[in-house]
Amino acid sequence: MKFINVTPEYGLLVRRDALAERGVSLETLLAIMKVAVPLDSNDRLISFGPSFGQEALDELVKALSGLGLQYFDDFVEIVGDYPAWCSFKVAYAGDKD
Amino acid sequence: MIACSDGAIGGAASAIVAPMVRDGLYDKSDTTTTTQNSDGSATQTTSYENPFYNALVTGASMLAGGSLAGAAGQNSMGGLTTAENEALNNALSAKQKQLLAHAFSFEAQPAGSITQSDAANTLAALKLAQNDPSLTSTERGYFTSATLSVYQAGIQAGALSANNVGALVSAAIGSMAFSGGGSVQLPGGASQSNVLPTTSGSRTSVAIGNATNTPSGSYTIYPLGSGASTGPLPPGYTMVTRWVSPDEASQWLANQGTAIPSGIGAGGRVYVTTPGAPQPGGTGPVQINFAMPQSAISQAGNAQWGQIFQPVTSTPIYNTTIVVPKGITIPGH
Repeated sequence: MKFINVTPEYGLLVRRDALAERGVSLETLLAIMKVAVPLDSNDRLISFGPSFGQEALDELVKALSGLGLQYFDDFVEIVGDYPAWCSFKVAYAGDKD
Repeated sequence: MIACSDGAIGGAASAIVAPMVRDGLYDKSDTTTTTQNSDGSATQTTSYENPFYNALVTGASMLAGGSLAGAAGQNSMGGLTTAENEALNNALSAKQKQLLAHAFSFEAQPAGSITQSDAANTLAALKLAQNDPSLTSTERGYFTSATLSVYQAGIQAGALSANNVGALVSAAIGSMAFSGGGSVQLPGGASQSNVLPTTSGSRTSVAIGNATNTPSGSYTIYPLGSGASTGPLPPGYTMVTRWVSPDEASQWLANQGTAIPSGIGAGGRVYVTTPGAPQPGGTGPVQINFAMPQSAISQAGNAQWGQIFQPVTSTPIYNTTIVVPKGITIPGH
């Protein structure tokens, strides 16, 4: 399985295929997130974060929904209080290799 | 029962108030000369030669008398109301009218909403405006009336006192002053529109109506007046920036930028950046700059971000400015 880095500090995880399915370009997504590059990505997933607190994350969720992306099916937030010595990685469940 | 005419009430009040106001304003800056008499005795003479202070002393005496007379059923503000109407309908410049309108608005403000800084800054702006040599005596009178209006409202609100107004106005003028002279282009190319003429070869920028234009397609609001937006910080304080929605900016204005409003920050966390850091995604367009104790800020997200844990409403903040992009309105402002 191919893992990418994610952050529990108000992170966002986007399913890459959803962009094509909803007609959303990567450039548009990056503009919404106000970043030049995502936190990490592979051919299945794109992760963003940390976000600027819960309020900013809520606004980003609204903005992504406004693009036509479906919350939970297409993207989801990753939030939790963990010490800095913990790191997290996520893989796409459909990847079995 | 002891009867006393309105005139007697006013005269008595004036006699009491005038020396208090005079001494408070001059604060030992008056001129004292000692003349030796032929019989060996000495006569000490104190001169009060500051026309601005003298106008305040006279006006304060009149207003003190008027206030008591007003309590007895007379309209103590009648003269000022006439002056307001005249001033706001005459040939003064738009900036001068704006300043006068702001000054006269103090009368209508609830006592609790009048701040010491705004009152002092407005008095300072009025004082400088009166230095315009092109003013007629009548127009100069409008500024005197406006000055008295702000002074009385400030006194009644407890924001000013006869003992501190002189020092506050002087400090406000000092905070407005630039060295050199003349109007110049700001770095962004925009002209500095809020320049009033001054004497003594110095150029002075004056905040009119608590807002000035900035050169970057935005305007700046000073919740406590421009004089309170700069200056030395208490030990341990550092400047930070928070990006917010217009609605949240309205809450900061409501408490005059003296503390982080209660309820701000989801989950009790108020996110801030270092000054000049890029605007984070998901944040609002309004930029609030303020000084906060460094010890109250925890690292967040990246090296340029910090978080402040609520409640911190009892922690004073300083040098607060609110930068609003043009075209965006802050509710209630």
